[in-house]
Amino acid sequence: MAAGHDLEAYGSLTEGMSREHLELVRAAWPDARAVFGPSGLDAYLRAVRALESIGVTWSTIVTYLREAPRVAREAGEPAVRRLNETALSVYGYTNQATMEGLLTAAPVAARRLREPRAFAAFLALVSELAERAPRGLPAMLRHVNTLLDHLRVEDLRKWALLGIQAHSRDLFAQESYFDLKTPEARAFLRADSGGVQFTDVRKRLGLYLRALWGRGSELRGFPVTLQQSRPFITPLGIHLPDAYRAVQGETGVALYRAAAAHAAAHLAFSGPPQERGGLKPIQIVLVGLLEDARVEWLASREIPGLQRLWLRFHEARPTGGATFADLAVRLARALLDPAYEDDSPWVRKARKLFFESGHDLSDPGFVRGLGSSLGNDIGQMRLQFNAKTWVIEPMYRDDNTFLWEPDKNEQGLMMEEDIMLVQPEVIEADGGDTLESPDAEEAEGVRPTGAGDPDSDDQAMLAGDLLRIVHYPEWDHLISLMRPQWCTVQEKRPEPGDPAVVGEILHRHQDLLDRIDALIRGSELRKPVRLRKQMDGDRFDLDQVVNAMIDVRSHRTPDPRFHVRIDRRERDLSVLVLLDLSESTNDVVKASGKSVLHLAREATVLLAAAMERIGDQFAIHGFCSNGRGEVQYYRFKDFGWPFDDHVKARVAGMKGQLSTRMGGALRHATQWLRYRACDKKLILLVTDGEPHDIDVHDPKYLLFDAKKAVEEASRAGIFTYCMSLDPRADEYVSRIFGARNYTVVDHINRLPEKLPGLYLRLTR
Amino acid sequence: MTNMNLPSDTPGVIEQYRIPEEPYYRAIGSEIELYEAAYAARLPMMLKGPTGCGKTRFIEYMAWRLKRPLVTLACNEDMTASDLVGRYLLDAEGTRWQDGPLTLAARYGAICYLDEVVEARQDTAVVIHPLTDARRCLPLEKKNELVHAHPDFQLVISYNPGYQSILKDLKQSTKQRFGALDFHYPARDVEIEIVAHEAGVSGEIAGRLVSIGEKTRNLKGHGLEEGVSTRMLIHAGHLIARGIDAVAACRVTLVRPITDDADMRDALDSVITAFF
Repeated sequence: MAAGHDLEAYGSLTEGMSREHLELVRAAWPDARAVFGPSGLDAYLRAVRALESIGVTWSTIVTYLREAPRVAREAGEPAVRRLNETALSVYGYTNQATMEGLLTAAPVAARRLREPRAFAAFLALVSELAERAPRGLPAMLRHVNTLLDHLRVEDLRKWALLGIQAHSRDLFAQESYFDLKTPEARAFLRADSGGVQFTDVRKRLGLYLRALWGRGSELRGFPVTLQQSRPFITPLGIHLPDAYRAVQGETGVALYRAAAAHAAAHLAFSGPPQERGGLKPIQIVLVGLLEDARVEWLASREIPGLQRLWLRFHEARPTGGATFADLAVRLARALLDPAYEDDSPWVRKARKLFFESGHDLSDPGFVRGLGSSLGNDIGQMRLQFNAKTWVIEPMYRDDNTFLWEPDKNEQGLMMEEDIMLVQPEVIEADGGDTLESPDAEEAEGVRPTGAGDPDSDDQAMLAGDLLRIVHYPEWDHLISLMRPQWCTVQEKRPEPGDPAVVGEILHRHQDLLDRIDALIRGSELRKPVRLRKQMDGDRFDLDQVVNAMIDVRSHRTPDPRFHVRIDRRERDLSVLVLLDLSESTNDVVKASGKSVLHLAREATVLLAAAMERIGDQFAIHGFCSNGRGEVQYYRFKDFGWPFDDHVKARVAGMKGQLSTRMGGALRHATQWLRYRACDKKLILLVTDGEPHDIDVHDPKYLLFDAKKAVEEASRAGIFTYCMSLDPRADEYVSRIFGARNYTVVDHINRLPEKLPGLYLRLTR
Repeated sequence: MTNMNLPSDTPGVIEQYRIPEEPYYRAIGSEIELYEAAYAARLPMMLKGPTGCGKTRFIEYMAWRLKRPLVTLACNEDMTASDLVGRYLLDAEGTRWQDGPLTLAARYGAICYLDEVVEARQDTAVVIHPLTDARRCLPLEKKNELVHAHPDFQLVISYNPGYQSILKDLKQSTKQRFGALDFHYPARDVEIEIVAHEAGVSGEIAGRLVSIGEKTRNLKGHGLEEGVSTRMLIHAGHLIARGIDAVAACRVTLVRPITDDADMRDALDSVITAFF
């Protein structure tokens, strides 16, 4: 150890330090000397002087003296310098206690993070939080060990920022978020710790079941409560918990798969619900257990790998306890696992009766008798059974309620649930997810139903006007993160109006239509193109052939591109016209005395007429919004529907209301176009103002989200073009759609004549 | 222009299209008798069915059985009529006519098999019309020649309905010239036999592969354009026969080729582990 490392060598730094503090430094010195180099010791002492100068009490100084060397040991000397700076800046925004919290948390974080760069990121986050969430920071520092258990630094930052965002107005709520007292704070940890959320696996589970069983099963998530922690089956489908943590070394995904496969086996092999009759609760449990074993046996016979999947969750041991619950899980395993041996006479007897009594396992009838007799045995063994606290094990199995006719006293409960869950059609789609268009078409038939069709009116009453609910993520530019499942698009059946209105528009603009016709003919949309200098082709390009022959004769290598090919460019285009139907479209345009909506409708009708004449595939949709939970989306005309009276009635019935949440509507429109098989896809958005909504106060938020939605569409091969009726639109429209992808119509009253022309130019 | 120097004007050129050895083909129904009758009547035939279910193998087998050369052409959307009937080429002396595969087959009496004919543009497909009705001739407009089809010539096309977009469909006027044989994935036992024979795996392994194939076909239209074909199952069998772990072999040959979607991949992987 060099002499320079003695405290005395740093006299200039210790000079003037209070005696009390000097004693503390002296006590800490051996530790520090073992870790720091000379410059590190210098910085260490300077930090103490700095702390002293801002007037913190000795306990903070003790903390610093103790913890700084530990940080250096874990993350190196530069980390300590950063810590010093961060501590002082935290003190500037908060108080001494928070700073002390940081000093205590620092070595823990350094140990967990190891990487100096990660530790620096952690300190940067702490500084940021000191400024933005001073109340939350101490709580987060207390939990730093737990948090870093589950999250990397980047995720920790996301977690913190989500907390700030979610509770920006309620500081107490924010504090409890950071103190891990709110469910969403914990949910984030859960999602990132080997656990899985239902929404993330819904699609793959659906495909898995469809592959294995050849039919679609509706899958739904439900929030786990104490009363309902196991999956359940209703006529609406299979209900799975909204999140599964990793258990028993298995991932949450495997658990979801096991649960879904078990429920599907029930649906495939279990009969209709039975009367409970005189069965006691314990007998009902046992009949359910035997039925589980029966359907699993049948399913494994067809698909052998399922047995292996389920067995991963059977942990029963023959030496386990001898309560009824223990015996039940042992029996469950014994019936699934042929290699399992159990010493309980009851389990052995049950297994023997189940497999060897000569009944046909594919017949659901026998389990009832066997279950009730095994239940009687349990009674004679004087084992306790409490129906109230009973939870079925292993946890992938559903609660078996669907095997039984509902109890009279349970009926009310079921009803409530049904009401809650009745939705005509729910397709959940994430950002990159599909909204399968074949299914979507089935949802409403290929033709629209509605006015003039007496049969369909009843149907409309039955299904309600809500056709489909889809959740989309939304981009938050502040945290640079998609907020998952943030925006709910409700697709609704449009109210039909009078189709004569549309007929009148067409009639009134007959001259314009003629002009459009001429324009279409003139632009020769399907013009054959003569491609010269081709490697292959139907005939020679004479000029090139002459050149080639000259080359051949003069012993040079000829250019082999001497063919002409005629290519007929096929027009293969799908256009989705998306209309902004917000309240502001009801404003009357002075020049024409008509409302914006009225003009937009005229323009759409004329555009539709033009597209019909060209033969392009097109759809007319519209949207308005009422907060993130309700983006209303209307399909007035879909691809493949003729532009007939049904559609005209719907177009005539469109009305303006509520706000403009553009992003969600654009994402939904993208889903409609995504799987169309055609060369070019276009969303033509007609809007009269910038995005806004009642629950968003940051004017940039929806703007950036819309921009993101446009980018997503572009990644899906869909071109987005905006026609804005807002004279001030230049400022923001170009930011959303890009510099060349928009037009601002200054004279709104000229929209009807402009839109078709624009369309032709755009698609030439 | 690789075959620029092929002497297409000698009958010898057609000999290279003969099928020397019997290809393995397991009949599923009465398709062999039906085809033989159609050939006897020189009726143009259309083989319909999903990809990888044995259409091409069937036509190879029939060509061998009928002892006819087989000229196969895989169609694509850039193909022009010249690619079928032939074109003038340029050589040192000037221009020279090169018969296209269709002309070659018609001239020398081969079976001409146009694979995936919907892929060709509709105006291209029309050149087969004069060969497929009573005229049985092929006008070579540019050469000013009318080729009368050899008595042994027959035209066969394959066609995968519902594949690709609705735009790619055959014209009615084209469709109505053909007799059609429907091909499907074979019944379970037959498919097991085929996979076991072609891949050289045991019947038990083949059975599991076929089960996986059947399960994936449930997903057709639900995220998959087509289920796993018999051909793919044979590929999986080949790898297994070479000692590759069955699950890995299935992933490589059955799942990865047909989907890029993470959820679909996961679902299909789970289906595989449900059988291996």
